[in-house]
Amino acid sequence: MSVPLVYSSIGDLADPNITSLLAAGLIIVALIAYAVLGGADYGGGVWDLFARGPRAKEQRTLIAQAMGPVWEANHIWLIFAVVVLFTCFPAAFAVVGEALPVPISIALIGISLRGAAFAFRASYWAPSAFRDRMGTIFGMASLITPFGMGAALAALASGDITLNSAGVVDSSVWAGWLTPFALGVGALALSLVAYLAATFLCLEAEGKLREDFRQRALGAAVAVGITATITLPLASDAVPSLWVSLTQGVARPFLVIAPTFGVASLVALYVRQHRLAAVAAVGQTAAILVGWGAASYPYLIFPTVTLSGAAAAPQVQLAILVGAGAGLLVLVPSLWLLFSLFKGKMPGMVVSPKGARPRR
Amino acid sequence: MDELLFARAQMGLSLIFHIVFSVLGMALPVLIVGVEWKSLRDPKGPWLALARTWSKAMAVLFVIGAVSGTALSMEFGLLWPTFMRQAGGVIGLPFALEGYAFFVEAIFLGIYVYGWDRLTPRAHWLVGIPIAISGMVSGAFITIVNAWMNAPVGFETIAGPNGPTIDQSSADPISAMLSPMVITQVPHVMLSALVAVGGGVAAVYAWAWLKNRTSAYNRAGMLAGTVMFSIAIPLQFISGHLSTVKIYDEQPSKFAAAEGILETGPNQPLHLPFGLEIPGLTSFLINFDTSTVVTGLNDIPSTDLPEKPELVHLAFQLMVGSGLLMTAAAALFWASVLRRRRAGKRLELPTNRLILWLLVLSGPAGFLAVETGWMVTEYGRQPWVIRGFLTTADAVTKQPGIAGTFIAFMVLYAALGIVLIWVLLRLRTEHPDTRMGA
Ligand code: HDD
Ligand code: HEM
Ligand code: HEM
Repeated sequence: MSVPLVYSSIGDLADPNITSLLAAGLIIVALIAYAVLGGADYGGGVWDLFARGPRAKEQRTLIAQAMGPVWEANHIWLIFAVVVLFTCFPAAFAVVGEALPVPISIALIGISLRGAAFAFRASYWAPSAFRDRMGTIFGMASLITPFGMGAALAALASGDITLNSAGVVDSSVWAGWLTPFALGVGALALSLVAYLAATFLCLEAEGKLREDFRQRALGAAVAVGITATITLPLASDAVPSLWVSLTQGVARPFLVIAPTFGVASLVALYVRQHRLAAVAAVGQTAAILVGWGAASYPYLIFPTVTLSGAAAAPQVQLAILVGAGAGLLVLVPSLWLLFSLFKGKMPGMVVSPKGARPRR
Repeated sequence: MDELLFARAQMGLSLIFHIVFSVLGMALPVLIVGVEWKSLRDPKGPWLALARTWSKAMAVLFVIGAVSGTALSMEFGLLWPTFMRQAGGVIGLPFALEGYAFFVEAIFLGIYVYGWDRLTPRAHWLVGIPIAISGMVSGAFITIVNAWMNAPVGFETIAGPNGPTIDQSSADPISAMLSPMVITQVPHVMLSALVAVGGGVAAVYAWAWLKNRTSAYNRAGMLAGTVMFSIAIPLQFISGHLSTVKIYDEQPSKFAAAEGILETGPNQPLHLPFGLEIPGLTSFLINFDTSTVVTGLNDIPSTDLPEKPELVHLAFQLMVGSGLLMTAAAALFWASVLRRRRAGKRLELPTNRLILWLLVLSGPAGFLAVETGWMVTEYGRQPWVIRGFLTTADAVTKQPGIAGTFIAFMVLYAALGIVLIWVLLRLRTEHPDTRMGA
């Protein structure tokens, strides 16, 4: 017994309607937010694992302080992207689940271990040997997760994921994400989050500690450069459609914009313009994701699932878009409050340290 | 076991694990906001220390809830891709709205937990309120999804080879959120969180009291938990009763299984454990008429029946039984308080060991009721995942290897659970706040 699909064709090449385009845009925005904010938290885990030198302890403390209040909120961007994907493009979500159970399960276990280990390590009432062990798990999980996510993303463009006539995946669960290109994208994702984290941490640190993270950022930038130079040429072979539109199609500008941001960030870092470096690093990440999206268009999963083919009914997408717009009215002020409390100058209206309870 | 069984086992395990933290995420903030409010009015009392300790526990619990919830959202695609194809467009809206509730919860939780010495006491208390609201709201949204699976609405059907299927192009996401089961399930779930968490907190401090750690701090903790679950439990019975009447109307197979009705007919007894029964009461409770006819398992088509209806019945009895136990605990507790008050003592808490033991048992009982209640809902709906439209067997992924992910997640949850309990026990015994006022 198999259930009939009530989609005309999930590889439909008709132009997507406006709600599909907006919904896809919303997913990209959520992914950028997750890559920048959540990504920096994974990068924090990487630098925690590799904390070295005379200030290793201070480095870890700074990372924990920087992540503590915000990482939960940063993590929700992923959930948000997943939920919008499965509501607005349900068939694509189903195919992703069928095609990539292995890397997704790996990423999920990584997400669980990282979150739990971070929280357990922050439980200062527990013995320090236990907390050290949790710190190691936290770092290891932070390495695996971005790598797995990058490889899974690359698999979607690979063309190795195939469907039968009912629209159900019939390729192997190992297809697409174990190629040199996919592993290269995984490595690129990992070095990028490490770079983001180090540039952000430069903003929060002072003195010698800042210099530590500046050096780490410079190292990560080299890693980004190397992985990108190795991975990009592989693309022409592994993901020809993506490659063609990156080099000749609509996505061409991003092949220039992303590295430009990258170089700008590196230069800014070198001359110790830390704020500028962070902004440019964000621009670089956004440009990579937007460029990836533009190059993939009109496919969600190449060459079988398109935006218009996987789209839910327009009224469903509209409901999500309206809901998302309304939700922003709550979300934006709340996020502003969170980040201004812990990342910027304290707004005087809510906070009055004099009136606050003494620290215990 | 075949792949379907592994998939069901993995989903069930993940939900059983996650629901513990969902319930805590819904009701613990309510309790914390309550005690912090008391601390504003009574700064010298033990309330502030309670709120601070609980906020540490809440921070850790929230993380485990968040990661297990993330796993669940992906497991929909990993285990039930066809469910997503059929349902994603129709019932995705409450999921997306829930996403916002999670955002609000996570943001204010960050401010709350890390803001103790950055905010004025009043501002800090205010920050707790959105956490409590958004926790409850996220529970409501997910229950709306579940209500839709029990009684799907908000779409037209078209003919398929195995009967009518959901026509995606007709999906109406707003109407889909208004399944007839929403009105009974949502309040029942919210109340269950207040009951279970109230009971759990009362149990922790009643245990301390039994061990003769009779501090003002432990007394306040016991009182706070007991107040919360005592208020919620009578409402829980009314709400559970309304749920039962609703499934009589909407889901006859679940009703017959839960109540253990074997043969169709009027004058159905209420079945109690050990073969005892109260004649006519089940029929009577539906609309005050013992002649009400109830469809028995013998008349339910086999395509609508779970493999083992007796498990649904058992789960139902465990849920109701746990509720009754907690009612007894609350009743005796307040009767004792009242008696002591009459004797002139101001709000003296009971020291009677029977009452304390009942409170200790109320901790596991509340969570048992939550788990078994979900068993009734979920197992009672089998073999359907979307009742009447999609069977669980058709929804399952066709990819091999679920046994592997099942084992991996089982190990993961076992490890997380054990470490979490250990960390929380440490918090109780080691933290200076706990000893304060002792
Ligand atoms: C503290 C927890 C708790 C307690 C004391 C009770 N319940 Fe419950 N019950 C739940 C916690 C719960 C739950 C976990 O929250 C469920 C699972 C799904 C749902 O909607 O709520 C549930 C489901 C559920 C369902 C299934 C609804 C459906 O499948 O659509 C029924 C019929 C009842 N309950 C009825 C009762 C009755 C008659 C109770 C007592 C007299 C009762 N519950 C006490
Ligand atoms: C299959 C079903 C479920 C899915 C896909 C799911 C999804 C999620 C996700 C992704 C999170 C994490 C959000 C965060 O980071 O805060 C979460 C947490 C939560 N879920 Fe679920 N959930 C499911 C079942 C339930 C059920 C049955 C309930 C309630 C009755 C529930 C209520 C909650 C609540 C209240 C939270 C916040 C957690 C906390 O505060 O600790 N969920 N859920
Ligand atoms: C304040 C009033 C009520 C309370 C406290 C109450 C309490 C309960 C309880 C504890 C049960 C579960 C019994 C069990 O299954 O073991 C129950 C079930 C039920 N109630 Fe009520 N009830 C109330 C009013 C009503 C009313 C007004 C009706 C009818 C219109 C009704 C109809 C039912 C039905 C049909 C069941 C399911 C029967 C069963 O469980 O076997 N109840 N109620």
